[in-house]
This record gives sequence, C-alpha cells and structure tokens, in this order.
Amino acid sequence: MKSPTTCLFSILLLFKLSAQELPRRAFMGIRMEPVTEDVQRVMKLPALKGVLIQQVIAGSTAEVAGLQRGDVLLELDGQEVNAPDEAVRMVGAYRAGQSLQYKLLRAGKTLIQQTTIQGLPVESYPDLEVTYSSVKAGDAQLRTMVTKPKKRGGNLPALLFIQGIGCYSMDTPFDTLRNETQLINHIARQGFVVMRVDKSGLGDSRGASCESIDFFTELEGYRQAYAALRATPEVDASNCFLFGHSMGGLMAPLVAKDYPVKGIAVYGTIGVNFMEYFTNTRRTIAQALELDAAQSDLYVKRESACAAMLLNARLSREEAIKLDEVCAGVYDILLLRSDPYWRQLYDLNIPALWQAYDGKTLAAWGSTDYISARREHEMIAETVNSNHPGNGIFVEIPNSNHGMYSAATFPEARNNPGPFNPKVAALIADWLKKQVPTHFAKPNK
Amino acid sequence: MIKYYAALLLLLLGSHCDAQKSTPAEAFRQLMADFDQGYATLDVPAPNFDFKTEIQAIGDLGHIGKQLAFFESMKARLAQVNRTKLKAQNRLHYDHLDFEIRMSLDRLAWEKAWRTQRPEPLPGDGLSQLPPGRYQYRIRFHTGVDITPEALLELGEQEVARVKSEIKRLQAQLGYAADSAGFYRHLQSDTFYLTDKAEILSRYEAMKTTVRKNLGKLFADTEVSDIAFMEWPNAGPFTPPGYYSPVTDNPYGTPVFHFNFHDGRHNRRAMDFLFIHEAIPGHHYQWWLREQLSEQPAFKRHFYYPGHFEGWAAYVEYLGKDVGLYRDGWSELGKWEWDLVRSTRILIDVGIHHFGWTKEQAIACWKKHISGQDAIAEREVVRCTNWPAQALSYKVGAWKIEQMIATLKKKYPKQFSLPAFHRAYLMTGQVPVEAVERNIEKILFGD
Repeated sequence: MKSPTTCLFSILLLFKLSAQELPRRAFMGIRMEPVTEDVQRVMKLPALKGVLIQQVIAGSTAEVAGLQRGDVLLELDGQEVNAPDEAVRMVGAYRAGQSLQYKLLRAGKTLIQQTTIQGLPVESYPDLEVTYSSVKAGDAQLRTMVTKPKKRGGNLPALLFIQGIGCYSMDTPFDTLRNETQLINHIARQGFVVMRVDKSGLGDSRGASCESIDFFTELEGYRQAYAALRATPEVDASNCFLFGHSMGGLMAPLVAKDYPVKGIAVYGTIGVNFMEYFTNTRRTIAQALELDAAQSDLYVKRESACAAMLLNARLSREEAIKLDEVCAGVYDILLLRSDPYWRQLYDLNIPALWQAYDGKTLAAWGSTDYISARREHEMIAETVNSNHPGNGIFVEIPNSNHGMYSAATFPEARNNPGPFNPKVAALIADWLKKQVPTHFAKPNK
Repeated sequence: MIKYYAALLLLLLGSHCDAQKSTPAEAFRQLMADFDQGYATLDVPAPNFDFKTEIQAIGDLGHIGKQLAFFESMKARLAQVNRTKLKAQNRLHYDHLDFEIRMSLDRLAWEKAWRTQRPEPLPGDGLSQLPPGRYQYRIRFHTGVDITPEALLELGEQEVARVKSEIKRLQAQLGYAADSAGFYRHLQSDTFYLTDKAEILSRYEAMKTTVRKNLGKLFADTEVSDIAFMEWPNAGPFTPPGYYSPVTDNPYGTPVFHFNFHDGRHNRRAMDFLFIHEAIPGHHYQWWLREQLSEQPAFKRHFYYPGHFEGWAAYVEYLGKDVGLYRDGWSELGKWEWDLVRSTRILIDVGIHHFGWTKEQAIACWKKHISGQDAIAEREVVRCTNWPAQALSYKVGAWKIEQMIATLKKKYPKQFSLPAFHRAYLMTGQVPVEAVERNIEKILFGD
C-alpha cells in the first residue's frame, strides 16, 4: 500500500504531466483544390460540392485513412466542406489520436469512413535532438521545442529564441531551412540548449488567437518559457541567454526584468520609442521601394501621421480612416496585431529597459535591413554601456536583410533576397560562446 | 586466415573473370542497373529553376565526395564498354549515361570549389558573378546540349531576326505594311480577347477535331488519347498562357490542358499555338506516345531534360498549318509573337549570366525587340536572372530538331520520312538532345 505522501506525490506528478501534455496538431496531409464548374464538368461530378484531393502525403492522416488523389472530400464529422481553406480550418481544430469521420466521393460512389488523426511529424536530425513540451501562460498552453546536440550531456548553457511580430508557427518540421530554424540549429550545434515557444493559438499551442492577444500576454509566454528552460535538468541555469529577433528584441529585456539573464543578443530590433522607430524606418522602406526623394517624403509623412492617429491620439482605425482615407492602406501592416498590442508597445520606454539591464548585450544589425535602423542598434549598445560599461556591443553584419537572408542592397533585400546568411548565425554563436568561456575551454592534453 | 584470403581472392578473380566473359550488352546492362541503384543512394538535390535555391541545397564536402567517387567509378566502367559493339538502342542509353556522368562531374568540381571557398553572400544578379562553370552546367541541363554562350548569342540573334521577318510578313499580309504603329495599336485592342469561357472551350474542342483529322499527314501515330480543357485555377496576371497536366500528375482522371483565363480574358491570337504546344502534337501527344514505350532502363527514372520535351513542343508549333491550324494571319501571328519572346529571352539570359549585363542593359534589350510589352520587361529580366538557362530549352531544343531533320533530309533525300522521324524522336524518351542527335540516324536507317 502506498503512503499518503506517495499518493499525493503521484497525484501532483500526474497533474504536472497533464499540464505539460499538449498533443500534436493534426497532420491531414492532403493538397486540395476547390470543385469548380470546370472540375465538375471534366470529372462528371453530380454537384458543385466538396474539395478535390490533388495529393496525399506519406505518413499523414489521409494516407492512413486510404484517401486517394481524385477523391472528392464532402464532409468532416458531418459538416460539409466546400473550400480548401474551410477544410484546413476544420482539421486545424483536431489533435493527434482523435477520431474523425469523413464522407467522400470516389469514382461515382459515396463512402463514409472513420479514421484516427495522425499528429504532425517532429523535427529530426542526425546530430540534434528536438524535444516537445509545453508551458502554461495565463489561459494559454504553449508549445515549446528544445533543440540540443545529441552527443553533449550535462550542464549546458542555454538560449531562449524569441521570434518577431508575425503570427506564424515556429514548428514547421517540413521546412527546416527557414531562417529561424537554421539559426537555432547552428547555435545548438555549438553546444547550447535552445528553446523556442509558439505563440498562443499557433501550431500546437492552445489559447486565444495570436492576432487577438496583446503585447504583455505574448510576453508572458516568453517569461514562462524562459523559466521552464532554466529549470530544464541539463541546463546550466546560471548561463542562460535570450535572443530576440525583430520585435523579439523588445521582449528580451522585458523578460530579463524578472529573471537572471546572462546575456541578450538582438537582431533587427527597435531601440527607441515606437513612433521614432516607425518614422526612421519608413525612410529606409522608401529606399527599398525605390521611391524618389519627393515620393519618399510624402510616404514617410503619410505613414507616420496615420500611425500617430492610431497610437498617440488613440483614434480607432475607422475614425482615423474617416479623417484621412489614405490611412486604410497604412493600417494593413498594423492589422498584423491587435490595437491593444500596438498601444502597449507604443507606451514602452525601450531605452529604460536597456538602462536597467545589467547583463552582456549584443546588438546586431544587417546592412540591408531596411525594416530596422542601424543607429538604434548602436544606441542599444551605448545605453547598456552607460550604466554598465563594457557590457554592450554593436555589430553590423554585411549583406543581411531583416529576415537574416543575404542581400546586397535594400531593393534586393525586399525583392529578391538570397538564402539565409550563415554569418548571422556564426556571429551570434561566437558571441554566446565567448560569454561562457568555461563551457568551451579546450581540455588539457 | 590464409584460407579466408584465398577464398576472397578466388571470389574476386572469379567475379572479374565472369565480367570478362559476359557479352558487351550484358556488361552494359549490368552497368545501367548498378548506375540506377548507386544513383538512388546518392541523394542528389533535384535541379531547381532558381539558382540561389539550387546552390543553397549543395551538400557538404562529404556528400560531394561521395557523388564524385560514384561518377568517377561509373565513368571508368563506361570507358570499358565498347560502344560500337552495342545495338542502336543501347548506344542511345550509353550516350545518355555519358552525358549525365560528364555533366555531373563538371557540376561537382564546381560545387567542391564553391564549398571550399564560397563567397558570401550569394550574388543576386546572376551567374556571371560566380566562378565560371555554373552557367555552362545550367545550359547543359536545360538544353541537353553542350553549347557555348557565344554560340547561344549567335542563335538568339539569328532567331530574333528570323521571327521579326515572319512578323513583318504577316503585318503586310494583314494589311498593315505601311502602318507599324497602327498594327501594334490594333494588337493591343480588346477584339483579340475572348471573355466567354464556353466559347473558348468550344474553340479548343474544334481545334482538337481539326488537328486529329490532319495528324496523319506528319505523324505516324494518330490514335492519341483524349484531352480535356480547363481554366488554370488561380492564374494571375503573370501566369504563363497555358500548361499541360498528364493524367499521372493530376486528380481529374484525364489529361488536361489548362488555359489562362485571368481577369476573364483569353488571347484569341495565342490559342492555336498554345493548343499545338500543350496538347496535340505537343506535350500531350508526346506524353501519350512515351507511355507506349517498351520497358526502359531503370536509370532513366532519375532524369528529365527540358531541351528534349520543351524543344519538341516548340518545334511542333512550326507545323501549325500542316495540322490544320493558323488558318488566319492573326493566329499565326500569335505563334511568332511568343517566339519573339522566347528568342529575346536567349539574348537576355546569355547577356546576364555570361556577359555580365546589368538589369538596365537587359531591359533595354527587351524593349529593343519586343513592341508594346514594356510593362513586363522588368518581370522578364527578373525571371531570366533567377532561372538561368531555363528559357533556353525551348528554342535550343527546337533548333536542334530542325537541324537533325535538315541533315537527314540532305543525306537521305528519298528515304527520309518526317512521320518516321517524329516517332523515332519521341520514342527516345527522356534523354539529352545531344544523345538523340548522335543516334537518330542509326535508329532510323540502321547501321
């Protein structure tokens, strides 16, 4: 018989496990196209209903269920599906292990069948191990992914990767050549444990949609992820770092307010109040757009005025557009996130965050990053050094755009960038290694 | 232990003796099988239209070394095969392998050097800024011919002049001999755009009937399978005018020719040549006949050659009148208008990737040769910049087919038959044009 203490421990453990448990999102694995009049005519279909399956991907729910190219998917769990987007949205709500009933049309016959949802595969590398877990942040349960070298054990330095503003998942096992993943993998290969976390409502993460949450709600996710990273058994909690890409560079010093952070590296971020940043970078965006001097001036003026109405005067988008209808186009970019998100960002005193931070800081800027400003990165290093001399450093990385892709000019960075620039990864990894010399000291022969 | 080595030696000698005993055909068959299996384990990145993506996918030095060892060993084994002792079909396969091995070794030598001393970042303005050799590799892959950039420039200039003279002829025939401005103004008018999809479908169906009826004049095989017509889903303003989708690649259960109906418009002048290129006797006919091929060596599954299939589809556009199309000058004009685009692309391609043209020089070249299409000049230049040599496959392939026909006609004035040539060309399957060129005479007229 178990003692009451053992029972309590088991219950707690069970609770902890279930809190960590976050099933993989569904891997439906079909490419679809709508059933158009053309499709109906050529395939002699009885009605303009369903979606046509173009391709079935190996290892997916569709393959396990036996779906075939040329099948017309009519219903999922009794609900009609009449557009690929609709099917994607519906399947997005399912998680691995759940049951799904589907109705389809194959060679003129209607079939109704049941299958079990297969989860999305995980990232897999010969030399790296990627483990999937989760953290709770407010009402959301967020997916975390931890990448570390397979052959290294023990007390490793660690890094939390904080991504930019976009509402896209960091969990893309079919696309491991994307910039963020290449950077993460490079740093992990140098001997670091690297964590990333998906925002609320994205990937496997549960919670309100990324587009609807505000700045501080998103920040809470990074705070919890960082705490979890420090608590990871193979992590050396005294040597934990943050990397902030773009807007992630603002999140980083905010996380560091509440937790010990050995160092922060940022790339392509904001170093001054948001309005000043916004105006500064409209000028470089105009260069990337190849506007002439007069057009550029008008562009900077118009964009800044519209943003000020929303953020400073706190007008609603509708009110601002009523005052100046040209603002409708300007707000397209601001539609990325909610109004509260932008206003909280606007209210931040960004230099004050860097003034307060007492760790080491690398402010890196790519020479063709027209979305962020060189001077602001210099200022971050200067601000850090004003209170903690020698802690901050600014580095310009030649020929890198905002996304860390290769490009020689602003227009090329916008229109035709090359592959991920490995110099970004090399610079950040080298800087990180220098901050933890004892971990990378060569053994005595 | 001595016994073990003796047995091993006997085994090695034995297998060597067996190899020596086999006929050239058997040894070559074994080589093709070994090539197929060995190649399948190499994980060679697929060629990519975009040169930056292709270069980014180059493996590490270990991967390059593995490929080099394989192709070197295959080169040595191929050198042991006496080509002249093989039958015509095997000689074609021999030349195919020879082309692929030589091209791969050159590619790998470049990739090894690139991996060892790669400049950062990857230049965005084309291959002329990279160490020499990459453009030549792309030319060989896309055209199936080892032709120099200088020869391509000459071909491009010659073709631009030829196409312009055809357009001039049609301009006069259509009543605009002395009014070029009026002619080009008229070409921009809405009268050429069909907006009723039912009418477009009915016109394509009528073309199918006409071409099928006339197919026997130039083609030995006339029972080509049916093809359906559909609007290209989600076509945009810059989507090409049409594409062919074989039944093996689409979900519709039948081969399909997709036409661009962006914005509810389809250019009437382009319909005849598009049908010929994408459907019959172009890609659909080609696909259908290839399906009739008897068993092919397994190694062929790894490769495809745009110069062979795009060259064919571009070549048959010249046969429009013979298959009952181009019945009015405007329809034929559509063919030459597109041919002028293809010919000009040769100049731009070679200019950017070999002669180091700037974007402005390339745009100026486009504007010099193409009337009334200034708006798409930049897009065309970006396309040629990002996809080196891809645009060459159509014209170089078609030019090579015309050359083969001219040579054979001259040498065999009485025996030469165009239908027999067409069948023989298509029955070579997916091979480099260079290999067809070397073997077509013996395939048609025997040893």
